[in-house]
Amino acid sequence: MKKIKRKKNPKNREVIEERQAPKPPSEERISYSQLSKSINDNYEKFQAFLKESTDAVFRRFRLGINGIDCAIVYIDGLTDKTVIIESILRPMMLTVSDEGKDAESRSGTDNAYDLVLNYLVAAAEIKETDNLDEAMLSVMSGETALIIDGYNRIILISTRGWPVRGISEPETESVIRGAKEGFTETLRINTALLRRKCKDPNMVVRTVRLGRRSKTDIAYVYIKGITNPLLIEELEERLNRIDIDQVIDSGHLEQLIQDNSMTTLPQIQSTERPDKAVANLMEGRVVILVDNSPFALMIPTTFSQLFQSPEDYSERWIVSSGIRALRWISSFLAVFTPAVYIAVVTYHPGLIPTRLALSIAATRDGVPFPSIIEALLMETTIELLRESGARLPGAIGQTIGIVGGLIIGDAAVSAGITSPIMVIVVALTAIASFVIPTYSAAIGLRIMRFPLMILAGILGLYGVMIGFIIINIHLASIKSFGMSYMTPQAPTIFQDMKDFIIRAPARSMKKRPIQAYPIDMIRMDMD
Amino acid sequence: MKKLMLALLCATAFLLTGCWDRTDIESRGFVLGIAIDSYPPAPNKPEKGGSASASSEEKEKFEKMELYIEPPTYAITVQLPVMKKAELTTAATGSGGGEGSKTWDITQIGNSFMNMNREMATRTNLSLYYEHLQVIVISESVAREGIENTMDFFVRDPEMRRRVKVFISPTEAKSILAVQPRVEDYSSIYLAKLPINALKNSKIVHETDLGKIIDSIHGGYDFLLPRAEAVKDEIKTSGAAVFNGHIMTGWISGIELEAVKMMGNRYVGGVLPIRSPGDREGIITMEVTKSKSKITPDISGDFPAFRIEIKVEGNYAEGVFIHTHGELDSRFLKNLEDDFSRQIEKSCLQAAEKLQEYRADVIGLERILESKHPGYWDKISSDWDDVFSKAKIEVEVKVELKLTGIVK
Repeated sequence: MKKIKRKKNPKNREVIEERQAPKPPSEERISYSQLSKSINDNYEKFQAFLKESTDAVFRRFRLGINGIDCAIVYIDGLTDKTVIIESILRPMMLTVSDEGKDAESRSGTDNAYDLVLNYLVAAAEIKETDNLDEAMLSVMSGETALIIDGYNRIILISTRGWPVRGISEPETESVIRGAKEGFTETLRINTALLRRKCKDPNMVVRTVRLGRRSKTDIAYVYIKGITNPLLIEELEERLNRIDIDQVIDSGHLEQLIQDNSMTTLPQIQSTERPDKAVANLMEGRVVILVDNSPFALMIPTTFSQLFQSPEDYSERWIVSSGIRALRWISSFLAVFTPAVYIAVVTYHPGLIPTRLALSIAATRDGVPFPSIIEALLMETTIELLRESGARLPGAIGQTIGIVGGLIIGDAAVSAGITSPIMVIVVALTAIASFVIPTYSAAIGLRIMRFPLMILAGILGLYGVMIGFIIINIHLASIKSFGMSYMTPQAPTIFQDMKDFIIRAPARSMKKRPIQAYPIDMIRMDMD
Repeated sequence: MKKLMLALLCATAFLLTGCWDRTDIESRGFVLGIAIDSYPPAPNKPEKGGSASASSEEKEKFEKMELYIEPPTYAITVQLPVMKKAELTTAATGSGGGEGSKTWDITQIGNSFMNMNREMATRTNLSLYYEHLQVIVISESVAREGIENTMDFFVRDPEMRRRVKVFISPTEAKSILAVQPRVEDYSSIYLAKLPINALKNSKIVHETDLGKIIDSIHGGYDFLLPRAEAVKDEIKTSGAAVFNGHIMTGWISGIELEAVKMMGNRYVGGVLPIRSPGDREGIITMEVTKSKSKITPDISGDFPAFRIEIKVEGNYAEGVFIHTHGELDSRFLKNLEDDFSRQIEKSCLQAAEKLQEYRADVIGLERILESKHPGYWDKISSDWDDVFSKAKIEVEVKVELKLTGIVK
């Protein structure tokens, strides 16, 4: 945790230094980004950018009190028009002289800018700026820019309001018992979902903008007093190093900040569930929310976390432990079943009970391919079915399931292309891989069975064993934000074993897991 | 590029060396049973094919292999299962089993087992595979010559398992494999499962694993092997062949075997009928639940004397033709227990006498003598067979009936 190894890439260094050094402002920049006192100049500057865009709205009007020229600029569709009318246009235009004078006398100033700012604009969230770039960015994210003649400052009024998808049940991580709400594409709603679950004022939501062009809001959330500051420091550093035009999704960001890209397994856990995110916050992890993405990232992540579901904590511990064990077993099945089958059938039939060996031999009799080819064929078919089912709309997806499951499975056997036992192996593998609660972990594990099958086809069980060892070495070598991926097995942390293959009774888990090195270890009163 | 070449080179190490022992499961011939007969067949047994027809002579010629060293001494038969789909293609070359047989029994005549085994490759499209071998049936004529040589191949070969069951057949061993059992598809699997029933019936030898026999042969101990007899669709195993060293010296019957098992503390279950005391027609059967023997050697005399104390526990399992209803009182039971004790003592002594005649100490007296009196053992161990045949054996049995059952 303390020391995070980083590749010493000189190119990266340069980039960092370049970014940190203050840029000498060029002449052109000044003339563009600095605002003038004339409303016409400012107005033109906005128009220079937005004239061609049809969704940009420019509206000039005069202040009701003294007839000073004003203008608002906003993007249609990103803004709530009632807010613009009710809290900007109506008070500014319809407040006539008498009331205005009253206001003027109360304010004791004839400064139109102050008057507008303090007495007329009735909006909750207001910013001021004298920088055009900042004003532009605000306008592009749904705020309304208010320009007043004679002042080189712009008032930015928050009028955001765009159509949002409602909070719905998370589809990739459904539970039977537990909260049914999931994150949405809007960052603000997502942070609100977190706040609703944790009212601790120590929960900090910090935001950075990433993407030279997309300017995507990235919020990272942590709890001050639990989360290790070194972790936050490291995250900030990694975020700062990113120089990219657009951050597409949290999955994209995940790959930009992960430790090791030569692996099939996710080193950063993602979730659609606010309850899971908050539970991770409480264990000292950092939650990263990306605007426009309903998936939150959680760092650091260990391999064992990928096998945990929020439901584990809602059910009795004995039941949950059984289900956890089932998930570990199923992950083994998902990865090793076809490989072990190939190895045993082609190299070590002595390991199968006699009757089973005879019945396998009988069913394989007449199959034209060696079992390795047969297995690769069938496993590829099931991946095809899975992928086509995932891409197609729901109704057709089901049809594909029937076509695949019944017709291909049954027909392939009766046509003599494959043996029934192979169909069982493939089905078992597929079902087992769907038991793993984290989708990205499931596909990461599932893909490992192909090289394993080839190893088994070449070297038999010896090859499977080699594959198993390689996978273990690989897993042990991965780090997630400095934390070993295999924690708590390697390094062994006995305290964390309470929430590993078995889930210990709730009352016995009095400390937070060490995995994220929280500053505050005590979760429950120790008495 | 260099790295890529290196990686490819490393990969070839796998790709070129792997797969050498790859054989798909359906192209292996699972040898389920092996029968070992002597060749030429013992003349004293006129078999069903006794009227040697021309076709059987031709067949025999076919089964004889070219030999470096004459003459052929053994005929080995391996049993291969015939897969359902492949059923049609077999009958032609199938020897042994008749039409519609689920097995393919290949007989090979020669003198070295390894050689005969490989010679079969000239006659089958499958690669013979012995890891699923269930039983080895040895004919009496081979066993009387000694089985150490016969077993050597089965012990040395890495494909052989130590759990293979060994049986001795008084007739041609091949005929045992040719049985077509009713429930089971293959006679070998049927036969291999019979010793499990030793829990129900003590006329079956249950310690018949190849590994055990090898242990006994190399440890110089005498041992028993189950006797297997067959009719068309059934195999019976009752009684045992007695081996002195690795040479078979004789048979003991099932009842004698029961006594030997009790004396040797190897009794795992069975029943014991007896005439009801005080009732000439009644038969009472005891289900033996436990039998423990304790052997005490006495070396004071010229020859050692062994005192075998057997404690038998059992249940009153059945009474047939009993005219004395309602008399299961303690006195009756005491009498019954005494009768049982006497009967067991008697059969034990008879069995022991027979073993002494065969000079085969299958009770395991030598192990006890060896551990209790090692000095004495050292002196007599060289001619133990002699000493054993003259040793004095006393048996004392104590029977205890535990449950009488509920009849009302």
